[in-house]
Amino acid sequence: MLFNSYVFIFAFLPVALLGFFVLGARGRHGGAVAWLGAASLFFYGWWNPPSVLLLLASIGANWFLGRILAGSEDGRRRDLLLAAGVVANLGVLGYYKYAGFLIATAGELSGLDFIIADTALPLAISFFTFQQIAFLVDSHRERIRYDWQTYLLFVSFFPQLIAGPIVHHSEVLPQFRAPETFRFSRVAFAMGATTFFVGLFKKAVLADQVARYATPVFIAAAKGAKLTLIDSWQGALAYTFQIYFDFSGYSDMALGLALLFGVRLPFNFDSPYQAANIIDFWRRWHITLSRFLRDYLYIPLGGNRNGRIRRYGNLMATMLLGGLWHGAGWTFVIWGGLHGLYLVINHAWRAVVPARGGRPVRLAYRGVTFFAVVIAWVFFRAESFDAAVHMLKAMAGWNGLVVPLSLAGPLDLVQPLREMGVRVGTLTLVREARVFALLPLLFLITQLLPNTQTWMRLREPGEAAPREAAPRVPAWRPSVGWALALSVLVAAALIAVNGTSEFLYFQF
Amino acid sequence: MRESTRYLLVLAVAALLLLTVLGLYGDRYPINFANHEYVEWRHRMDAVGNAAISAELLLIGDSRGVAGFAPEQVTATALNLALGGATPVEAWFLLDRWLARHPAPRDLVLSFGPFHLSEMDSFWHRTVKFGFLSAREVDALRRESEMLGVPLDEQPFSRMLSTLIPPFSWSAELFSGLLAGRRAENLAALAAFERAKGHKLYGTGKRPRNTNEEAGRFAFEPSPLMDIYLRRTIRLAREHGIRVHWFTMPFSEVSWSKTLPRYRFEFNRYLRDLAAEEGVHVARDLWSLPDEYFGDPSHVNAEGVKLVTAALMASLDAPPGPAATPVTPVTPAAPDEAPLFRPAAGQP
Repeated sequence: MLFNSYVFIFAFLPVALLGFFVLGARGRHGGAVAWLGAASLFFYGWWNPPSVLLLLASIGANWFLGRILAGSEDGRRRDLLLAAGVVANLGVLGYYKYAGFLIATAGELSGLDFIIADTALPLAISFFTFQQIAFLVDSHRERIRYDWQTYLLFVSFFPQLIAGPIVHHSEVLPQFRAPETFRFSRVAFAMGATTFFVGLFKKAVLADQVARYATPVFIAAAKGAKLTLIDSWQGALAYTFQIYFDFSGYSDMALGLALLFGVRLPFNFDSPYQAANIIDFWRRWHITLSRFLRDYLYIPLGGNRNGRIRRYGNLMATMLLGGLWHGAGWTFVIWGGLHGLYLVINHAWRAVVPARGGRPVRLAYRGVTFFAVVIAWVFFRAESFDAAVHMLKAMAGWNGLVVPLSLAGPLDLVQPLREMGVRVGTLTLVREARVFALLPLLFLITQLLPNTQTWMRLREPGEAAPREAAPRVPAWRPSVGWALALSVLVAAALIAVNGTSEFLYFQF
Repeated sequence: MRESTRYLLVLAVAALLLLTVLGLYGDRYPINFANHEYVEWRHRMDAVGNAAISAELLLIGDSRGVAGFAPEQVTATALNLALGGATPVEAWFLLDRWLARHPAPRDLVLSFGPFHLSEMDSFWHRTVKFGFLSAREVDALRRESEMLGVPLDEQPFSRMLSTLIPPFSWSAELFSGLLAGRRAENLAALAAFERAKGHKLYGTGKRPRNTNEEAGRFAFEPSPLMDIYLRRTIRLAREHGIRVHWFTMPFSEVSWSKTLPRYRFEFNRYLRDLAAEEGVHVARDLWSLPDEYFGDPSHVNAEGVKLVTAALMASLDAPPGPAATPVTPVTPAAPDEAPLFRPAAGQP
């Protein structure tokens, strides 16, 4: 079931909320937790009912292992159990997500033709696997214990199950035990509903609209079509904004949905295209994944403790594995590797060049960062390495510049451009002039507007008050004026929903 | 009333009002924003409602029929009323409405791809959404389909919201179409349909390498619902003294080579039974043309339509059979297919 579908918005969500708060109001907190857990499993099973069994098996096995870890006094046994748990989790993930990729790679290297069984990738497996590995590691460190209903809800809680945020148990599980969570709060409901619809607007109106300009270009690149400079940049930029608003929209919707149930989730998205460097970018893009990779991979590898060279090596290894986490393919590995390289260069630059400079310098840094991110997205989106190289060559002007007729015509520039020796004609893919207005508009939105949690004044788990925002950022209030303004956005989002467009991060 | 409650109420009521206004607008003026498929359906709905139009020859079918028959290339007064994605269900409604406002044509050509006798792949997002059927007609059809054990709804709730409630029926299209300013483009397309008497070419490519919907399918299984409506359409026509012909549009060679002999055999046998039981003149069973006559995997191109239109016209008065009227070039039928036809009983 998709968040951006009518069946979710008008049927599943109202029923899930009603059951939760009716049980909560009667003091049956355990029942409310069980109801929400069952609703989450129903939500997960909507795509493929048998995959619920895998999720339940994973939850049951990890919960049971966590109990043993928390109860055991034998240090060596605890180490072995933890290692077995991590290996088993990664083994299941590897089987479903990477077996085909590894076998295909082995086949290519050896020249042998292996037959690969067609295994459907269970949704969200990367997310719930990482979440539970963190739980096992923390159970080994801290001896934590939760009852099975609450643990099941922690893993399966539907607002975060499919595409994050990757929630730490200490952030959410205490909220499922707090009595105030089960009391209906009008303020939380108003904030949650607003945040959800803002996210829906980003997804249905912005991401899905701009996707129309990205997809055909990448398909053409995969087929080896001769893309022009403008075609290729249109595709790369359109995808850059598509994935931005898709993931931003999903993150808002997850925060909003959780808030409807009185639960606060950690922020996962913080205006990443406003980042002044790549280090900053990774503090803003998929924040909970960065946090997981830092805490459970980069630091255990040694982090920055063993000198600069080891540090750079650890960064590269972390980002390569982070890329592989996104998908079983070499394009994802290259994307991760590129970001690892960017991070190494960024750290090396910082070590050499002191951090200072005025606004123009900061803007230049921001521009360079954005450019680097766009280039990396080409590998992330392309269907193959060859297709990515094809795109990048076109973006570098390899196939020449053709000014589209749809742009030059209305501006009366056809003749002047031709006289200057510039080719004017119909591009293979840019057929609508409005793309030349849409892409700059989206760029300005990503650069200038505050993110949802800032103007909604949302709080993360454990925060007593919203973070300070710049004075120029207007703060949301449950007023009639805000309601009227946001109703336009809600209506546009509901009209634009088509119920079939999946979130990009669902595939990971 | 608390501030948050008032906020939620105002938000909900204002959004609902906006949705209602947008829904009413969408329902009234789809030509301003809808996609090109709507224009095709709109042309047919307008033609059926316009008593001033007359035709001796009508073609009703799916998109292969839209592309394959060009009335402006024939001397008879002809009209192409084929609809992209249509099945015999739409054919019956179309003919019934035509006969209510126009004199009966002399000839009716039915032309559906085998695939559209098995599946209704466009029913919700075209037939219902474009307003071709009223809510009452959809309801009656739904009941009939359930009785036959082939329910129309796989996701009743989503279908109800997204196709029957006006604000949601146009959904993303309303938004993107208005932004794109599609009105002028749609009006020009509508005028082009009128000039071409309903004909339109789809793909413009050369030698498509992909295959059509039928390629690789194991068995031909007509849907009971489509079968009933096809027979109903034939009977309705014959009650009005119309000569009814079946003309299958050609497959490309690449699709033909990937269509299993069993599938071809079963489809042709179905036509043979139809001819015997309903008296339809089967002018063409499955056949193929070289790939260069196709603009995409399913539809003929400008060169292909000349051949197909000529073949169709020549076959109307020819005796039935798999290759009753020679078309050059043509792929010979597989040995397991011929002879399949016998003269249709009771053909006028």
